[in-house]
Amino acid sequence: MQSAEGLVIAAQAIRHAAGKDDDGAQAVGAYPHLPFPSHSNMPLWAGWVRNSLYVTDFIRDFDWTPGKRKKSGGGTVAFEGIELTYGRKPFLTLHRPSADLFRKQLVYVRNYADQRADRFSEIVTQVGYPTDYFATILGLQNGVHAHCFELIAATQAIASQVEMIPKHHLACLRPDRRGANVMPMIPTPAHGSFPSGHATEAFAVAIVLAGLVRTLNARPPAKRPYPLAEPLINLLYKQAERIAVNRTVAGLHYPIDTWAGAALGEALGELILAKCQGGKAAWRGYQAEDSDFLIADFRNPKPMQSGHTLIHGLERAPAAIPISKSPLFEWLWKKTLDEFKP
Amino acid sequence: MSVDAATGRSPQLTGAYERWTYGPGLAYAGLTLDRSEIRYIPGMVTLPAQALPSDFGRGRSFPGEARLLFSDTTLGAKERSREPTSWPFLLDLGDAPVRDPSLIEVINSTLDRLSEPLRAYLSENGIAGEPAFRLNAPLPPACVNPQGGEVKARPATATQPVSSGSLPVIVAVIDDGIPFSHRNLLDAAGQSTRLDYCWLQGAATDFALPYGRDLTRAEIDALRAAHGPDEDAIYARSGALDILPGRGTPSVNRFGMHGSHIIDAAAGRAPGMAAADIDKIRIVAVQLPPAVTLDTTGFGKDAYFLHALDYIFLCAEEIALAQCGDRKAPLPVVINFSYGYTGGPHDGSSPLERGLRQRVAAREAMGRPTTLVMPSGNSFSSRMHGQIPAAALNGGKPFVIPWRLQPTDLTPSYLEIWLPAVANADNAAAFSLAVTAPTGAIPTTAKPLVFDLAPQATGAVQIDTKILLNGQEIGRFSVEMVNEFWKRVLLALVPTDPADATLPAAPSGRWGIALQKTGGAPLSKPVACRIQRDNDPYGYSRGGRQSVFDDPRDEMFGPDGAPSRTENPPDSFVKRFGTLNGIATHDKVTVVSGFFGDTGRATDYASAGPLRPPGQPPGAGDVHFSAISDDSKALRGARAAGTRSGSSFRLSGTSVAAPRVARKIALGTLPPAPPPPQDPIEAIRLGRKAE
Repeated sequence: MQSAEGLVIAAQAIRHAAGKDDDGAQAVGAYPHLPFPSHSNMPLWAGWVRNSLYVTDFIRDFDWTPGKRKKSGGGTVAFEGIELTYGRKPFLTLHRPSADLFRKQLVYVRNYADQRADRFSEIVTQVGYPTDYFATILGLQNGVHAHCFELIAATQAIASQVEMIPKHHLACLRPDRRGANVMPMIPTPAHGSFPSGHATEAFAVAIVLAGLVRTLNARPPAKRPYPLAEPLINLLYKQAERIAVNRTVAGLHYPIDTWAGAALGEALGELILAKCQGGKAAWRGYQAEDSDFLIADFRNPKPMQSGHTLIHGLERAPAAIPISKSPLFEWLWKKTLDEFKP
Repeated sequence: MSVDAATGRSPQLTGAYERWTYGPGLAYAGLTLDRSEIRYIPGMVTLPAQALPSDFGRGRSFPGEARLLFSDTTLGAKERSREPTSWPFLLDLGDAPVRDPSLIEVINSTLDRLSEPLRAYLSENGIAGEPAFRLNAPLPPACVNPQGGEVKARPATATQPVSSGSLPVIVAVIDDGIPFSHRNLLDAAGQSTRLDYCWLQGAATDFALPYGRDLTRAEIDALRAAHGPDEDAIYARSGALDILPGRGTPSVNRFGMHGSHIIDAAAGRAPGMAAADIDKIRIVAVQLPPAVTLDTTGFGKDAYFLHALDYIFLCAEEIALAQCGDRKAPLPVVINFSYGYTGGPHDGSSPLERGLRQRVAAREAMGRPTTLVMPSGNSFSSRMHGQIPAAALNGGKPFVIPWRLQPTDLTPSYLEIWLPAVANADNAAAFSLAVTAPTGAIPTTAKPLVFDLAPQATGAVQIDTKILLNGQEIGRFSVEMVNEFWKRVLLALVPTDPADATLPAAPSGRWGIALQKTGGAPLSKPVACRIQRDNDPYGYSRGGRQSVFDDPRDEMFGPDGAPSRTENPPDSFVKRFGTLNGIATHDKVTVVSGFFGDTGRATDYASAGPLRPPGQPPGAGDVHFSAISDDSKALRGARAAGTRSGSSFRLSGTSVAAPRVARKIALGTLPPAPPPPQDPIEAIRLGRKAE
């Protein structure tokens, strides 16, 4: 309030220097007006406003149907799970795992607990968004890659909003409520275990950044910012795995939470890329099986006769859902691409 | 009672540690040992001179019956030694029902029965003595080949010749957490691993070896090709991870492990390192079952070690055949075995040392250069070794050994007192022992704690009795003839803070163990007292807390305030010299100590053999070489590979100095011996500096 007071005093003290009072009754010059309709005004808004715009713009086509899913031949069928849709098209069908399966997964939580000392620093610095863990792979710098960070932040914010819907509806208890010896090394947040939010966010970011690297390195060789795309993409996926599994090490998540989160993150990353560039998104369904999470498995599913792929209960269809570009995301994507010079 | 009067036989062929670990001590291992899974117990049998494992016979056994399994290498031994010999075996207890709490009785009667043919042979040939069985931690059934299996090496394939005229040299590493797909183990071209064989003793059986499974170079290369470069996937999909009896992370999935460090220091090629020479090194590795199984309650690792040596030498023959066309080609083998032990007689006569020594000597006798490199140990200043001067006992007054147990120790504590048996029972020195708890309470025992140094048959038990405090069993006292030279007093105390809180606990604090000579001929030498290691091995957390000798005359720090680098005054009980690794005191081992890289001075922890006159060269039981084990006092540890390619970490201890020497021995790059250092104490502690 002191600054407001100061501004009032100063205004009263100096306003006479502007000359005669201007009450707007008559035009005294050319008055500016922003273009309409146009997204070129985006740079004028605060970062948090743009972030809010991306999230809301994404969310308006997002919907969900707890307890029922679409049948392949049309119509719906009841099931214990939730189907997430985009533009009314299902992109992720999550079956709720049984209590018995979660119990069996406790052994992984116990096994990974031995690595708490190894991974302590990572776990503690990844409680919030682990942006630096991706930024260092691509050499992103504050100031220089501001829009790329904005893209990452938008992806994280969207993932954080969306993931709470299946977490809420599927309502799965955390490891510390099932195994007395779990003793998490950080406090357990008060939301459901399945799917893992950290996995959702990390995989969404990895997919978006992998798409970015592919786009950048599709440029003519002299304009490419990186010598090779594949090693970086491998690292982005590997880092997402590491971040997600760190939550199992910490005692907060089962490996099947990571499978579900990775599937959701992958879907959201695809949708965001499609909103940036246009393109198609795919359906996937996850019916949890008792397994550990390994990125090498997640990225190398086995083909099915139907043309889908399958790995440890995660079935994926080819990308067939057309997604239209969003001017907001398009603007951000272009700005991001411009930040990468060879 | 040592011998059954009717049969003339020892009713138990196992020793004091076995009676404890498979007896009352078993309850304290409850969290890490699933008792329903105890069926396969590896161990080591020490046979009297002239006896051979084949004397146990290849008796028929029916499915589900108890069996004593020896490998063909062991059964094929022909030469009858004039000394006792030690051999690894696997005891299969068969399909018998629940074995607890009488497990040790079941084991002893089983061993008794299975030893019948051997005893018949001994008695027919007029050989005195009995087999003495040392039992190691049980293996999870999933690890064990139910058909028995053989320690053997599959054929090797030749690699490109390294350089004309030079023989390859084999570096073998026995350790925990071997990163078999690590890039530092590749050849200079980065195409193929130099790790020709890797026996993962704790992995699920593939029904070839007696337990675990092995990988060959071709298999490792295939795994790398199929799953690389994601090494997490290689290990997860190889089926070669440890079967863990409790639960936990396989050691190769830690960031850095003892084995990853050691194998890199011994034989690794970091990127950028001059490559030609290192390609001369072929590697054989043996990954021990996880230390969490082995180190819990005083189980030894003997069978794993002896089988490992047998395997390494068989692999060396296959490599010789593949590389030189002749399996008898004299390929040098340098084995790095970075393990230590604080107990034992320290004169090379412990059963395991005999087993190690005999194997190295046998290969050498075939004209094949063989070097076993081991660390000197890290207990120089750990207050785990004390000596009672002969004069202090000869006067007949009790000498109180001050033994301090730490609070919150989840594992038992062990104190050994080593007394030389005399040749003649007449006038043998006699002793009594009195125990006082930290509270001042006097525990009771069923039998008086009295014994003497009269000779007995090896393995004979002079006394074995429970120690009771407030009516609860809190420990065990035993005296037995360990071999033809030594009687060992063993005092085992239960944890001060048992994981199962319903079990009795030993009070923590300063225990008084009063040893008194009550008669017989005077002693001519001091009596050595040794505490068993009781802290967690690197990377494990089983809750061990090291007990110490709490000796007020122990001058732990020098006049400058730094940890003492030299011996205590003569009137101190605690001694720093004579702490050498208790399984490296024989004459077929090269012992390596550690120094600070910046000053070249011995570290505060590096163990040493006994003090000896200046200028006298090191022999058995001494340090022979030394290398950097810490970069400096401030920057502890030396750097070598973690478990994943491209990672590295610091590890401190003589364990990391040993492979640096092993590497130089293998490559023939040991520097010429420098003039002896000025400081005679440092000369004893460090031997010849390898860098």
